[in-house]
Amino acid sequence: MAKRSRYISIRRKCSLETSAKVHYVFLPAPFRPISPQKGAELVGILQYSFAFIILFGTKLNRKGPGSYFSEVSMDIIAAFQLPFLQKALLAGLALGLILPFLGVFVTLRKMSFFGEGIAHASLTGVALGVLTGMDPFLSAVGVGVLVGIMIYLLERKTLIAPDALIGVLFATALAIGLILLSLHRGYQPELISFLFGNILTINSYDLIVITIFSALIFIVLIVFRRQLTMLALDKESAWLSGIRTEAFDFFFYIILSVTIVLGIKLLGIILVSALLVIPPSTAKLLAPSLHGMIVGSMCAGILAVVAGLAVSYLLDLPTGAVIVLCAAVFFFGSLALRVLKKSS
Amino acid sequence: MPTRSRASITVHSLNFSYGAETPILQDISCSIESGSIAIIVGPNGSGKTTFLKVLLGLIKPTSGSIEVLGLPPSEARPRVGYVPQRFAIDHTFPITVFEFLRFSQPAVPEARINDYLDHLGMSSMRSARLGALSGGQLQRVLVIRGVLHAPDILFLDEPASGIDIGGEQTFYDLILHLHKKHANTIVMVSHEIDVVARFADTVLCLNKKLVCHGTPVDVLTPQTLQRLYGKEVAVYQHQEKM
Repeated sequence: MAKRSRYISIRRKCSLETSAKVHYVFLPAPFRPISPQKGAELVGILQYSFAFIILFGTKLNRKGPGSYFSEVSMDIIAAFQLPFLQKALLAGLALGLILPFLGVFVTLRKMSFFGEGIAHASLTGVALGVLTGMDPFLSAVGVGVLVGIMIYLLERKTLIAPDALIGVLFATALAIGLILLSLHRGYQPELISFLFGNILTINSYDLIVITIFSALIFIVLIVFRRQLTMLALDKESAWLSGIRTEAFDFFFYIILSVTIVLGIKLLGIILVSALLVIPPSTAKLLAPSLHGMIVGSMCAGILAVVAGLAVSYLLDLPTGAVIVLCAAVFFFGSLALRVLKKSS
Repeated sequence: MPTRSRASITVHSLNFSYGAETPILQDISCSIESGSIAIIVGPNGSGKTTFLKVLLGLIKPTSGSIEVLGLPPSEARPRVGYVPQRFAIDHTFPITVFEFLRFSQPAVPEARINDYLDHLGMSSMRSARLGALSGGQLQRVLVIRGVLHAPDILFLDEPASGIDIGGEQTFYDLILHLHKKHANTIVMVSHEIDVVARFADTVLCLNKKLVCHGTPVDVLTPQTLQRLYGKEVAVYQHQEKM
């Protein structure tokens, strides 16, 4: 018994020392200091992503993991010299940061279906853009925000349950979008691009829009994370701690709607909510604190985007779907780790 | 000693109802002196918690006026503390005790949070998840949150409801200690008549209306309690003080 305790304490000490060295290297200044446990989580996530890439490569090539990995690494480095992939990477990193960050509050408030609803409803915006010649991206942002405001108001003015309300509004908006798109004759590449996302078609203008919005949203989330946390935890406590709960709730719905529509370019209407939900859920499995959940969630999001882009380029698979699969691999890896941790 | 020169809370003709047909509070007028301990008693569904929430500004009254420290309740928020009856936290919410206290009272220095955690024997739980605490531990954290900013008024809604008998004594001792230390006003909802007899300066008997209002000696009589609860009640007073 004594031997076992000693073994555990030594093992724990080793892992803490290793992680303590790592976290200062990887994390941005606003998140320091971070506890050793959180560092360990980040290392775990990194290990998962590299293991995933190596195993994937080994399976396809019989030369062995070492040589294949170096070959693949060269391929990836060369690929990221291409301007279109650089744009895709930058946009992916921006969205891989803010979608999971915002997703922390979405999952804590159990609002995952809201993301789904806004994404689907924005199809009406895309259709309006296609029909009127406007930028479909901006019209989708407009419709997304409008539907977000409608959900916010109807939740407060009626006794309808939020999930039913979102279900009604998103199905209605989706139907309107499909009818509007049917009025436009001929091939509709925008529709496919918006439905499934195509990060590789991101142009300089898209990149500027995504970067500016992402930077603003990131700053807002950093500044108001206390208010958003308290709102997610308990509205009465939030109000008593001096927070204007109704104003912040409204504000949260708006930035959530904008962020989701920004993410459509990356993952498409069908898959965008994955990056809002999977990385925070991954981090929540292991994080010992809220701070850890936020940092872990952003790391998982960025890793999913980078790994997804690389794998999709190498295997010529749809980018959005591969990013989501990478995020899912991290999630199930964390789940397994948690189960193992609990059983040991 | 607490100063009792003026009223901390003044309520005039307060009414609150959910729709026209379900009145919860009817024509309540009272005042609570500064530095005193006022305990609200009444049967289940008598509107005690609603009354407390109206005083806190969490619920807007249908009619009537309320002044808390001479201000409307919403403006008095920085000067009041609140310990709720229940705190429904999602057990998977990964916020730690320290993060919760820091986020609840951002203006309070970190050293004061640590002092309170030490004082209440909770320093080892500083990094524990809030959802992993026992009922008694969570209640202590909620008390710390309520008093961290040294409020002029502390509102407590059946604060010992989740605590065992041993813990209950410690809990009330703590509340009393803090009351003596900060000379603040305490407004508490309680079902326990012994607590009322031991701690209250003023008792407010509520059953949608204010049935009676006075000192425990005046109020805790079989006649008044029968009027309040609608059933025959006997009161036995022990000679020895606990």
